[in-house]
Amino acid sequence: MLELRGLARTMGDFALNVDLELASGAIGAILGPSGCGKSTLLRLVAGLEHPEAGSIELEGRRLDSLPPEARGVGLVFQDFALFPNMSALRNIEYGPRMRGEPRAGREAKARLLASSLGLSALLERQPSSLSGGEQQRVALARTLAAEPRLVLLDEPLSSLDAGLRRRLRGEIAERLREAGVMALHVTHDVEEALAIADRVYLMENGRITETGSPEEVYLRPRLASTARFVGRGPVIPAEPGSPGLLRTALGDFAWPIGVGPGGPGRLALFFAADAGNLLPWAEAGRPNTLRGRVVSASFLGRCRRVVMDCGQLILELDLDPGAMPRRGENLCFDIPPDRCMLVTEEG
Amino acid sequence: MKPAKPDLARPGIIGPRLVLAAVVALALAPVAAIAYGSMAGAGPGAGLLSPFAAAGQALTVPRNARALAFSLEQALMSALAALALGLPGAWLVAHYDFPGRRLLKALSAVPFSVPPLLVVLSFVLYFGRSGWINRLSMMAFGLSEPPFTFLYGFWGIVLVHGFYNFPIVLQTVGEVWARIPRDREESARLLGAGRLRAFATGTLPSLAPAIAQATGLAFLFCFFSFAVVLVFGGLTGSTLEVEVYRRARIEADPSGAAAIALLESAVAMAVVALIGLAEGKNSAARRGGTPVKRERPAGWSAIALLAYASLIAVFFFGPLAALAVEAFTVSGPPGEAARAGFGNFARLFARAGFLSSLADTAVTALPAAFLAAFAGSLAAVGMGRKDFRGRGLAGLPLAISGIVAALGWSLIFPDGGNALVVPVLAFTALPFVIKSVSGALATLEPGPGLAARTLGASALRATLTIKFPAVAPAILAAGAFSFAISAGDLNAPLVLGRGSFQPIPILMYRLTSSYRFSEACAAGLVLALMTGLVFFAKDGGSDARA
Amino acid sequence: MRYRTCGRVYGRVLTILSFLVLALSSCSRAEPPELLVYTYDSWVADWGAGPKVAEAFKKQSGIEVKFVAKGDGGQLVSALITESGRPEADVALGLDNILGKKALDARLFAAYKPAGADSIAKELVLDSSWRLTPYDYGHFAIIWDSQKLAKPPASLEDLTRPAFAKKLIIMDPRTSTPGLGFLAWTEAVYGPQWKDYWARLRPSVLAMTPGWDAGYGLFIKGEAPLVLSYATSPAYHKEEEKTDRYVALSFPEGHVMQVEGAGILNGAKHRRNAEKFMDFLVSTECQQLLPLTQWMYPVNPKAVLPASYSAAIRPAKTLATDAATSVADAPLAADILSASK
Repeated sequence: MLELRGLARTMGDFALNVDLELASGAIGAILGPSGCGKSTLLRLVAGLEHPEAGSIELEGRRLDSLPPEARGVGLVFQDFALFPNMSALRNIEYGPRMRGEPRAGREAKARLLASSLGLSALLERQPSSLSGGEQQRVALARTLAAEPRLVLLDEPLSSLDAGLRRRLRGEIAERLREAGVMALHVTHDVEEALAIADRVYLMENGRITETGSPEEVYLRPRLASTARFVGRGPVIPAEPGSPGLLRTALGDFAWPIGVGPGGPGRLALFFAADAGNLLPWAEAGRPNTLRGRVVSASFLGRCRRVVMDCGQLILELDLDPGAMPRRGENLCFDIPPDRCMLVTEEG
Repeated sequence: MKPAKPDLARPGIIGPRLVLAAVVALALAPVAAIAYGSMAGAGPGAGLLSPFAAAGQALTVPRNARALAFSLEQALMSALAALALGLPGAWLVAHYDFPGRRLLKALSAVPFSVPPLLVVLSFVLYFGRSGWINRLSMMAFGLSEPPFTFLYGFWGIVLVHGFYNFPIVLQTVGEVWARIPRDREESARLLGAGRLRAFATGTLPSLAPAIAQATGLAFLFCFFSFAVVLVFGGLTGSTLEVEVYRRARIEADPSGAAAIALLESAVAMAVVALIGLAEGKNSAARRGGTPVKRERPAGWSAIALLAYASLIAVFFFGPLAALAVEAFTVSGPPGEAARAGFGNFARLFARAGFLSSLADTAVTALPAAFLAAFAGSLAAVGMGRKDFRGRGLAGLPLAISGIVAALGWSLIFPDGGNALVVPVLAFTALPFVIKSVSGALATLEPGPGLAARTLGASALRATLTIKFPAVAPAILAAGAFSFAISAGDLNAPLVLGRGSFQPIPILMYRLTSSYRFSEACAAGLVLALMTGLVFFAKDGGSDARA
Repeated sequence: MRYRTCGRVYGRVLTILSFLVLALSSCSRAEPPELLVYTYDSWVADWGAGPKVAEAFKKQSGIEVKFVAKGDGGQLVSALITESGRPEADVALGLDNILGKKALDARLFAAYKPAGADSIAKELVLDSSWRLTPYDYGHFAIIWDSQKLAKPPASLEDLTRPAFAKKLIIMDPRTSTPGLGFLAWTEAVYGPQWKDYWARLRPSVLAMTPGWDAGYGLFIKGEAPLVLSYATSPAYHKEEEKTDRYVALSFPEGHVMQVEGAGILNGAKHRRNAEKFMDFLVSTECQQLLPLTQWMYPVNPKAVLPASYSAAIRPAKTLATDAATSVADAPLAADILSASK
């Protein structure tokens, strides 16, 4: 288990303060916008920066006072940070070499890892002659070869193109699980986090705001900020109205009995972008309805996304791909109460 | 249709070849003139190879072989000392933001703008037998004899050279260090390497070329050093430069001087070739690098900074301060102690020739700086191509010592002329401009220039509006450096200057030749301030870019 | 008849010749009033002798003399040798008895004995055929800083005593005239045993500087109490700084002197002006300008010395030297000083 307790670091007017737990063998994803402090968090865990307070514990061992090389923590950098003067093979076997493993053994280990990552043909090449994806794989192999107990991945896919990114993220998760090693993966890509992780940590302004399984944070976020970042659908500020109803700038909404607000603080209404059903205009004005004018509509394949001017707010909603709304047309939607969720603005 | 090539990054190869050819020709001109002169002196029967044969012969004379060995030994140790002193500073300026950082980077102007005689005097005033340090320790510990006497001897040379040349290392290495991604070293740490090992794996391979280059430069300056070696090490050993000087100026023996000058230049050219090799690797390692974020020092780094700053303050600024104090010290009437005052400056400024001296310095050093910056930038742009071979030849002027250059130019232009001083000075500064501008070009991203082309700018317009502003700070820096070199040079004006032409180094030379040492210190301070101002101004520019 | 005819022809030729000579001499009389003099650097400094001599010469003769500095003394000789036979300049000024030998050997100068040259002391005459005319001189001497050292050395030999360990600054005989002068001095005193003397002197030498300026600078800054310089140096300090602190030491072994001279170059374009300049150079008027600008003794005994020259010495015994030997021995001397401990 990885446990971070009150891990704190200030840089100018930015303050990081993190508590986090990750089960042994699990893959965690730290998800947040750039500048939220997620890379700093990784660097603190790796020992590349020093916390002002708090503790880091890995499998019951305190890491905070250990130098980076003694922590048993690996880090895959955003720009891979391969050693430009060494071949791919020398890069991969660097960790075992540092541990003083005999040459034959460490080379065999490196070749085995390389072949599982499809690198066998590239081992004698210099990093500068490898493609981005190949460099990424070498970087992962290099980190795994050192047999760390925890692998940290700092946006390792952000410099690759979309197709490669999708393919590699599956591969990385697979390799990590295969090696049975814990990992903490930092990204601002929601899909990537959901696809790789067992547990997702939402991070904002130096704090972990929400934690949950990928399903939980996607389908049932507790916080408005999580819902906004995950981007599944609109988040509308709201306040309690008549019993069982929420009052918003767009009208009143009922929500399923038994699903209470996730915490204290101001409320917001959240629903998936495709939760709405088109209604005839005459139905407008009832609770759980929305109306507005179509600003634009675009065809996304599995749906047609319309941007609606709802007077107080601009909303993005997804329609059936066959629908053909015109610009300037007035539309009315019904959001069934069982699709409505309550989130709170602050944690 | 020809394939679309990003011609912004590939100007013709003819231009740079021409510039390079000119640089090589100019660098070889003094040596060639000396060789030719010695051939003519050797009589009609002398063959084309006779000067080189003579150079080889000179090496077989034990005294010359000893002088060569000593030149190499002291230059090597001095360069290593400069390296040892410069590296911590390079690390600090590359990684930390602190007050005085700009000043530290600007110090590299000092070795060029303070004339060697004043450097000697400043170290004597500070470390000498009755210098500040010795007087202080004698007072503090009640000693009757000065405790520190290392100044006169081999280690004195190394000390003075080390502190005189460390800013070159600091600047050259610091610039590259700041652009080496730190995650390589961090990777190594996380893969199990200790601090030193991680540095050796992640940073050193990219830093080594810059280190080699800076050490090579320092080595050359020490190899040619004359005043420092003779004053402090005169009883320890001799250098080839002394032999050239003796034969040329005391014995009036041109062929003898030529033999040693050729020998000396050949050794220096070999060093320049090595620097050129390192330079090639250096620009490759540097390509695309952007400066990494600098932090404010805290904890250990703050202590390291403090220690380094004290070291530099004591050993570098100390002697300079002693020189400045000297400039402000007026010897009193008999029986009275000397006192502080502006007397030396008052006397200096009252000299009829002083203002015209300032003007002479300005009208030679400024055009020389412009010329060097212009020609050097052209050459650098041309040599920017990855596949351009022979970039290392641009450093050839570095292989010509002051005395060899003076001897050569006086043979080529026996009648001299003030106008000749400008191109000769510019030529001396050229390698530094090419190095600085090439470095800036190497880190330039091709994107914006290409974007300008797609927006309808011609190749020329794109270069002028996009590329030029991006490297302008480097050109400015190189120009300031050229100014420092030109303003501080004594040889060219002494050999080529005519009439009432008297730039400040000549004024200082004349002042010291006629007992007026304190006034010379004052003039030296004026010169140092002048170049310091120019230098500080440019560094502000390049910092604003970063 | 034939003789007469011949005589007539002869007479005509003579007439034409005399016309030619007249024309030529009137040509030379119409020499433009200008003169170009090559010299060494310190002569032309604002406070040096050059500007004052030029002004006085112009007032006296109307001739505009232009001094061109060719670097130091050594560079001057090199430049003259390079241009030999087709000189730009008319006169070269600043060749001494030590470096001037090369120039004399190279047959650069035309003989001319200036008016008033007879009053110059015999020992100062640089060349019996007056290709070089001396204009100033001074003995080399050890200068003593009386505030830094209680008891000065009494002789050259005394200098080698342990009491003077690391107390003396000399100049390198390979790169400077005073250094060469000192070598000549020891050669004159010790003959072939000069090498032993230099070996004995070694512990006393703090530094051997490339030029006079660096060495004297170190001395003035209090680095050592004894320095090799000129016997006239104390006069500078007395005149400019009103101090008797620095004292030139007179040694019983005798001293070696430096005599500086000037000469008219072969092929000079303004020969008559050059002769006038040489006459002026040794005249009392010009000679009086030298003590406070050159800080050397004038060669003309009629020149009145300023009061500050009471601090300078004119040693009783002047030693004869052989410059060529000293030049050849210079590297060996430097080797002896720098021989490993």
